[in-house]
Amino acid sequence: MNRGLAAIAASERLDHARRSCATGDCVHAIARVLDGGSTPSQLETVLQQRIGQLPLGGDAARCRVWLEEVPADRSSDRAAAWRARELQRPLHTAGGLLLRATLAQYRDGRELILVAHRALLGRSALAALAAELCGGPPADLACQRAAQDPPDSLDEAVRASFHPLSLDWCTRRTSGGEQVGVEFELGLAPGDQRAVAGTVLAALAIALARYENRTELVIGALTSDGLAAPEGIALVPITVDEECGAREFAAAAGAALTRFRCCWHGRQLSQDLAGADGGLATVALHLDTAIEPGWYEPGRLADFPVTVHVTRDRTRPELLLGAIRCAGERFDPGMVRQFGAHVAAAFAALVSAPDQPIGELSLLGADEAEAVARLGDGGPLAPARWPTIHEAVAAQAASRPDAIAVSYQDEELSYRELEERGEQVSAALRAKGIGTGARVGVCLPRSAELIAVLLGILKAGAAYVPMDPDHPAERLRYTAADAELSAVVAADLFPATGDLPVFGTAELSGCTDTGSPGATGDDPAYLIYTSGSTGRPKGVVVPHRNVVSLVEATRRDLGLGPADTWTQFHSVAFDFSVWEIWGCLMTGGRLVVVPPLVARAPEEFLGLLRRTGVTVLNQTPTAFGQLLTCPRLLGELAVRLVVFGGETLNTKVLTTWLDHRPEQVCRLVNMFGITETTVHVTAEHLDRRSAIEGSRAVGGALPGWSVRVRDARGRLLPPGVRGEIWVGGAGVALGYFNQPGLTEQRFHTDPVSGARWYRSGDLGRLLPDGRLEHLGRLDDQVSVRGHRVETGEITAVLLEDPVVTAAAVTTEHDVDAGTLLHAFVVAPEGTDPLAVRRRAAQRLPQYMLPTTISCVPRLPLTANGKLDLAALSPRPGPVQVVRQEPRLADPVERICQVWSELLGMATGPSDDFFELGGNSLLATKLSLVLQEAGFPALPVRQLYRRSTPLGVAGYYEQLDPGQSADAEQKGATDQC
Amino acid sequence: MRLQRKVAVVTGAARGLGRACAVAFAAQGADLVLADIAADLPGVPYPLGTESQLQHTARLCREQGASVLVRRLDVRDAAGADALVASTVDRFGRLDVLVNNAGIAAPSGAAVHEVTEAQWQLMIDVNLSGAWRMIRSVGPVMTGQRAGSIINVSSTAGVVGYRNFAGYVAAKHGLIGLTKAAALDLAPLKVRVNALCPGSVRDSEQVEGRMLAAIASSLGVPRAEHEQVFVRDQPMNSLVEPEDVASAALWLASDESKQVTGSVITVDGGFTTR
Repeated sequence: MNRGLAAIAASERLDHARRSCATGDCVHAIARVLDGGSTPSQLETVLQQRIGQLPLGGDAARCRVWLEEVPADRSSDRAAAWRARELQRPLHTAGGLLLRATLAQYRDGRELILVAHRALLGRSALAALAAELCGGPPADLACQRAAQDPPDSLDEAVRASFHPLSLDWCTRRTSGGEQVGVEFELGLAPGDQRAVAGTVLAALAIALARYENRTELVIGALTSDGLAAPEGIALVPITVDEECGAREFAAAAGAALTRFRCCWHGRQLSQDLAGADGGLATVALHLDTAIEPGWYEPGRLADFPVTVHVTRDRTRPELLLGAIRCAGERFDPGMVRQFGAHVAAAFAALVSAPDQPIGELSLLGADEAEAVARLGDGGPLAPARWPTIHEAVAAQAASRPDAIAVSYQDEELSYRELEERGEQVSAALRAKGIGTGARVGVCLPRSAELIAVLLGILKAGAAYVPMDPDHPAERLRYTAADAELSAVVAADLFPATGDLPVFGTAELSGCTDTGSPGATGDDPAYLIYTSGSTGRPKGVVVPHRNVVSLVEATRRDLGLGPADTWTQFHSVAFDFSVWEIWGCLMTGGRLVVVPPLVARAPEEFLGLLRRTGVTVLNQTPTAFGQLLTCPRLLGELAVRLVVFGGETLNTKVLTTWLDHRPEQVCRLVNMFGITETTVHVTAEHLDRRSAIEGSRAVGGALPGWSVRVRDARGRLLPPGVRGEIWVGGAGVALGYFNQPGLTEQRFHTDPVSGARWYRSGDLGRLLPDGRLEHLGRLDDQVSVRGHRVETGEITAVLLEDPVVTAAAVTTEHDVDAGTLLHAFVVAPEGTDPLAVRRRAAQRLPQYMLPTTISCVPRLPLTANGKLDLAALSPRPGPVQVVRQEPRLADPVERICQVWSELLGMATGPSDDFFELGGNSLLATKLSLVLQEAGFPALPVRQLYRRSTPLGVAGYYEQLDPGQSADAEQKGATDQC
Repeated sequence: MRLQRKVAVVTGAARGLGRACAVAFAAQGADLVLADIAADLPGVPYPLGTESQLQHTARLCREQGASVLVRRLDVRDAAGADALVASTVDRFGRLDVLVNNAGIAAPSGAAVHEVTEAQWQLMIDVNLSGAWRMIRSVGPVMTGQRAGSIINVSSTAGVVGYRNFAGYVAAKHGLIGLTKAAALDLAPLKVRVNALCPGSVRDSEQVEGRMLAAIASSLGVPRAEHEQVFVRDQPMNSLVEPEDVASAALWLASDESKQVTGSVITVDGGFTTR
């Protein structure tokens, strides 16, 4: 290599060295006892000579030996503290000197401390120089003088396979304080040096792979193996192959270490591979197994957030010690310590079981696994007195027959009346041959009668299958057929399905009960249908005992009892209503059924809450958010408990509520749950701190329920590491109706204990205190205003459209409107997207209808040929509205204009608000923006009745003929 | 450890407030560079700090666990100031705090129109320009670090006037102006500059203070009498202790005051309040 290039390489390395000095990276230090009488100037002479010979030595004449008096004995704590400080003292950037020498004069001896940049002196060179200065043989720094560098460009294969690690298991969201440094015993070293290196790297790779949930890793490695070659850091790609045997894997790791070597002190590779905060987002391994006199401070390897140092124990050289150092103050020492222990566990397993495939290697020891399991268990659940739902309700009726059980608008049913009506329904059903083992569909509008019908079905021993009358006919037909219903109880015309008997409520009377019900706790109580990813909804079968357990598990903690008034806010087809209805009636409370239009209008709903004195309010976070738009009404409520469910709660919105209903007056509980595990799994009590900190914790498992976090292979994961949430215990449903394959896929039976678990598909992790943190989904399931939606189901329905050849669905979160669904379809040119939407509306419930449908010429693909969802723009161009209306009077046009702005698309006077993508959330906002434009307030129920600009104009005309066109503010008298 | 890993330069460190600050910093984990003229100055009518006193300050700091660099420095010597800073970064790798404490109380005692050219120049050169020279030398290092705290030790004489002290008062007032200008210049680079205004500080034995004696003698008054008058006038009826001033300096030196710059902190028992 000619001198010109060598000079360039040297100056580049010097630049890098100076830059890293500023951050303290790549600087290491050594301290050695100095015996003998060498004076500082004698030492200086030798030092300057040696440094002068090195390419990065700079102005060697400036190299000094600083004399420092330390008033302590060499072996004292004070000396140790001073020495540690000196070993970690930074070098100065602009000084140009990459070395500092200090001579410490203790009371009883002297010590030499050398601090050097690795580019100037590698590990062995530093040790050799220190040894020479302390009376040893002349240091051979030939390799450091070598002008030739190994190629220091990054291997293309490495660059291509590098993905930054998340390190989310050890980083806190707020900075904690001190730099984290953790020490642990790694284990007894096997065989020769090369085996050590490979095994250590293998252990680190396995632990990282489990913690990060990846099989491809790139780990930085610095091995100090003598003076043979200049020191370098290699970026080593490792593939963790589960089937590979331990010995083989360790050998491969060791080979990779020697194959990938680059002296990268001279280059800033982090430019290519930097993570979000500029560092190289991976872990570095520093293997330093030489044993030498003195203290060695390895310092931090540049740009790596986490470095694992492995050294030999000085008194027992066969014992390897590990130390983990983290850069910055955002690391969690407890989690780093746990990781260290698991690296040690992996190491021990690799050494003790060399033939075992690494996939079977367990990071968690038996005791630890048991402790983690206990962490996820909700504790014992006492058996309830009544094995079935209806028996529990009957017991309440027996003790308080005249208390009001259900009310709907002006209608009220006492417990006695509810029981009697239920008995009638039950007798009528049994008279028609419908009893234990049967399933009865219920497709009724909300009312007190609906509750009685549900109760009656349960009393008959059958399971109820709730269906929403608002659902499209096709969907109702599908559900009826799929659930193999014996009958349907419906109010209006139920779509004919073969010879399925359909009864009106009036037909369910006039019989007297003769036989005993016969339903046990194990019999199904209900089937609720949830969105299916393959295109068809699936029915979850839940037995009585699950619901009984749920109420038993929560009753005492939440203080549920006869003094409470609950709302049934949610559709009976949504399992949150199971909790609302039976949680109330089984504890003797009063249930207020909320009319659908009231549920959609926050001010009206708040009025209802106040008038009826509701104490227990169950809400999805989206609906709750709507209530907060009228904060001044909140103080007048009697609500003492709010339970959140159905979707992820953003705790920050709670501060507004708390300002009006403080914690002492009203409890807030967030409950994570799934239909397949009977509504709720965990409970987290929230306070102001949760709101301020934006906590994502959903709490510990309920008594009788259990949670585990496991990886894709089903291995138990330790606290802090994210994986799939598995739910076990009293809430696990019987399965999916008539879908044995899918049931087996999602419901897992433990081969040893026989316990049944449900794999939720939700991403989460256990916190060290046993609470669960919910982190999203593993798949394409989303939550739309509290409803569970599989985008796959929407795509499947779109594909069934005659003109659509390909379809994709993306989601967008809008501050006002919540989660929006956008569909992209490939269809012949000139296709009217609105027509596609209308056809989809025949199959999909309102909340699953895409807000917009855009026709695209083709769906974009990634380089791998997969659908590239990210390339589908979240705000597609406005849907073509094919309308030609004559010019109309001003008010209608102005209303159109307001609508267009709100919905983000051109609106004509006859366009339907909901067809254009409006939803219940935007409906509330519409009233506000109309008022801002000078129109009177528009109550939500009016919008539902007349959902076009023409219709709304008509409503305004009605209010005050001639004044609706005024620009005057009508005021917000009945708005908040 | 409120100054953990920080490196502080203190001028006039042989005794008095300089020593008090240095030892207080060392006790909080800082490493020190102690600078003092350690010799008498021809135009100054009272003895200045000595080499022995400077070494004693160093010893006290080392006993607190600090590493200490000791340098003799006349703050009128720009090259000397630069050399001091160069040694600091070579030895310690960084420079976080500068306490501009070096200053002389006399020659004073003359009415403004009776001060000589030489006396005026000496006062300004040591008390005001000296501080500026040190700021000029540490500036590049601190701005390069994007971190630093400069503390200019002014006086109540920087806030109010005193009779027969024109040079001293002008210089100390000037120091506050320098503080504010420097604060504005250096704020974008995350370096803070603040002024500390001690009132009459007792000449404590520990720090071998000398200021009050010097002032008294230049006024032609016995020290004890000067102290008495002063204490009587002082709202808190006691002299300020060196540790009181060092505590304020400690706060200004540490990150606890990271949003404080261009400010004037008086530690004077309420003297300037009236």
